[in-house]
Amino acid sequence: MRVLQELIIENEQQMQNLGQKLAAFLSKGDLVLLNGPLGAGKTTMTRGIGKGLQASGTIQSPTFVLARTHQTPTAPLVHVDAYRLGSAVELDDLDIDFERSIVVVEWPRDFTQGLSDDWLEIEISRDRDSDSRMLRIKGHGKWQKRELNIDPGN
Amino acid sequence: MDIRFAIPADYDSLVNLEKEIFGDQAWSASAMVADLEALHTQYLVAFNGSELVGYAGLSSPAGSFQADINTIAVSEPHRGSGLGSEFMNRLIELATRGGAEEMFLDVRADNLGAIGLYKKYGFEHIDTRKGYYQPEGVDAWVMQKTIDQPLVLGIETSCDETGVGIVKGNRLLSNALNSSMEIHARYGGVVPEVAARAHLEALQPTIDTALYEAGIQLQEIDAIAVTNGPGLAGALMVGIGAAKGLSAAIGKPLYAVNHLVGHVGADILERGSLQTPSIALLVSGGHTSLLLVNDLLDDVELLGETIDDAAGEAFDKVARILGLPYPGGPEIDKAALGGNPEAIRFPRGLSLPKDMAEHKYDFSFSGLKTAVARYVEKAEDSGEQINTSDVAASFREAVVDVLVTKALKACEEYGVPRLILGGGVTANARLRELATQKCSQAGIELRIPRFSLCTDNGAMIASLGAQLVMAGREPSGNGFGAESTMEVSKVQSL
Amino acid sequence: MILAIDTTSGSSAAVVNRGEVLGFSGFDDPFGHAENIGQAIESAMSEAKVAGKEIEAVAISRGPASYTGLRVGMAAGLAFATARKIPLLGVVSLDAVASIHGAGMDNKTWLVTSDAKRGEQFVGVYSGLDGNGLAERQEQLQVIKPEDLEKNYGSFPRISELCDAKVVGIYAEKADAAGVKLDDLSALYLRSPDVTPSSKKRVSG
Repeated sequence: MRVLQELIIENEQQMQNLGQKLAAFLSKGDLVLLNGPLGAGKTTMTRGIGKGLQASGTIQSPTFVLARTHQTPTAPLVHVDAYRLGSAVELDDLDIDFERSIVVVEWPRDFTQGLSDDWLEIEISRDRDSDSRMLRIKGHGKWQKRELNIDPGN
Repeated sequence: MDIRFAIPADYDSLVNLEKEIFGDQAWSASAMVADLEALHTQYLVAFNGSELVGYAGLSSPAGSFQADINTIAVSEPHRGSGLGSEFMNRLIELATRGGAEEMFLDVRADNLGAIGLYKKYGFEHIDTRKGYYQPEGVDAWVMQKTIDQPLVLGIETSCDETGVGIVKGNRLLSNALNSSMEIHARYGGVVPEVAARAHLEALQPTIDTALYEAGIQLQEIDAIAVTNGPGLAGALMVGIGAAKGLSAAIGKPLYAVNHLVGHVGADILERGSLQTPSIALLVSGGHTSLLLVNDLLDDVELLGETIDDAAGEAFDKVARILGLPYPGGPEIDKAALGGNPEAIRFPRGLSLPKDMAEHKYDFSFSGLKTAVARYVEKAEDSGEQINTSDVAASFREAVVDVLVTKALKACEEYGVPRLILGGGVTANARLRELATQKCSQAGIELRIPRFSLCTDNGAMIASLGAQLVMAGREPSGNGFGAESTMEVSKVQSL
Repeated sequence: MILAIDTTSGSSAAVVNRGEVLGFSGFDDPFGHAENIGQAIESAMSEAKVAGKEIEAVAISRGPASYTGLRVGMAAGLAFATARKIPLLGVVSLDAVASIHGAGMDNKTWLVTSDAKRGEQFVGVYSGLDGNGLAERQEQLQVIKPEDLEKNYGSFPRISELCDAKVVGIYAEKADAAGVKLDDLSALYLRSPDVTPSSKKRVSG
């Protein structure tokens, strides 16, 4: 694992911008785990990713439905929420086609993964006193070799 | 010959033609107009250029499963031109689409021409009113036609519930549901028992229950309807596989339909028919959408939806923040008892002037969720006890307020005097209470089907399928697949 | 007259009677199960010139295979059998492949493997065909990494023909006639430990 980037996000728009710019780094077979508490901004980030990938349909929290698949010009974007899943085993049962899709998983826990050998993990923590979020972008597997220096803009 | 629905501009011509055709048997002008304006009555008019040459009226009281032909009138010079037959076709089509199982009409016993026409269209003489038409003392024949509405089985597996329902036209026969009510006490969420796996296991018992409750055999089904989106792809696929297997086994056609539009169709089973146009507010754990329904099959428009969390999800997550057990909705309601909904002004998402340009009818509950979390954290940090009742009541008020406000605004902007609610969150009493109050104030008719039809269910899917059959639409073929995200305007997948 | 359905790799259906395949339709696409299953069933029945009421039993493939695709075939088969009130036979795909393609293995030990994704293989270990031509499976089916496959079973011959509805149908007919119980209709979720419901769910009507 290697920490690729750490940054502070000031507001919702910046979180979305970050997601949108991150999309440029994503292609078929990639897996992104978004780790953070309730209200951290995981869905906002995914909305940005969806925008960057030109995904069809509205990005909405998949907490209840478990996973939403959006078509994009390149690979399908599968937006998963593990909030209601009891274990990685149940994620397994969703039978997500990791190889052919770009998968973003909102992951509010410290499960060990085992979904893939390569993934990008974004830890989001919320400041108690302000709207800011602290982000740590970690690369696992082949992602360790990537360079990320995303500017979330304003 | 141009046949269309009557509009107020036609009323004078209608009154005049009525007098011309029926002489002193004619309805008075006021009676005529009253009928034209009546809620469950439809009038067709035929124009030859700008001249009114015929009209026909059909009365179908909601929930009666009956339709009465009030009148068919063709001006003298145009009789024998086939206009009468054309009106009959249209009226039968309207009655059928409206869910009528019987059509009635009265006719003078000496009007052999009309009687001949009616018999040709399947009407039978069932009763006589002796000497009804005075002063001649001519009998009135009451004639009846039976309409055999389609028997449709609907399958719903878009999320957690496995639903199989059976309808006959607009009539609900059964609604079987296999629900994940078993709760693993994990904080905040239901372990879904591995959704798609559960659907497969639940299929047979749910189908069997639906058939048993309806008292029919599968061979009697005329068509099979199935949700093919939006929802969880793997779960949808189980329903689709089942529907296709059924279709192959009994040789009956398939209709693949939209889950959200199905929720609107649920009101048909509650009332016996659907009044359009209508605004529909669908609120559940997985959806929060505001629809403009001009025509259930051909014109459903998304006015707005959640851009982050669904309302039902917000209840569950805030319940967790407040340390309440699952399920969030009822637990928040319990906690809110005696609480002051105005104690804390939590944000109403996307309700600021700056949001109106792009998000007038969209919803956002994520900020509200964070606001509650922050409120609780601040109290914890300063060692204060929070008044859970006040927080729960205030949170709930924020959700319900924005839902009802936007729905009513849509009714007003689009000039639609009807609001239908659907989805599992309709169980929330405060939502129902506020909606009832605001709709009554605004003169909007509020429709909330019974809960078993509001939550995800198979009967609503069967109902939507039945509407397609009753409108003579082509079935869906057998090549459709699951569509996890589906536009609300796509009512049927072909 | 058996209608066999398999969605362990592509999607296929077959009508089998007395060991003969009267109709077959298969789609190779390993992802279009929901889209293709209806057509597969209808084409197979049409080729066999049979109507629904002539089918006497349905045989479904229980896997092991990718779940979503597997469940499509199982749901279709289950629904068909429910509609016609005929028996449903559950077939383990690897057993069917072993029996149909294992002739000539005599009493050796051999493997049937299939792709379990994530670089792993589903493996069944068989040793010989019994008097009815049915392969005898030695152990529980497994999901196994290539290294372990080599280490533990490297010396055994391997069959990796894909399962399809023809194989499922012929096997089911043979096994059923030989008195083998095919009444386990659960899907084979080999990879996950059994996360099944703790108690039967309530069905309300």
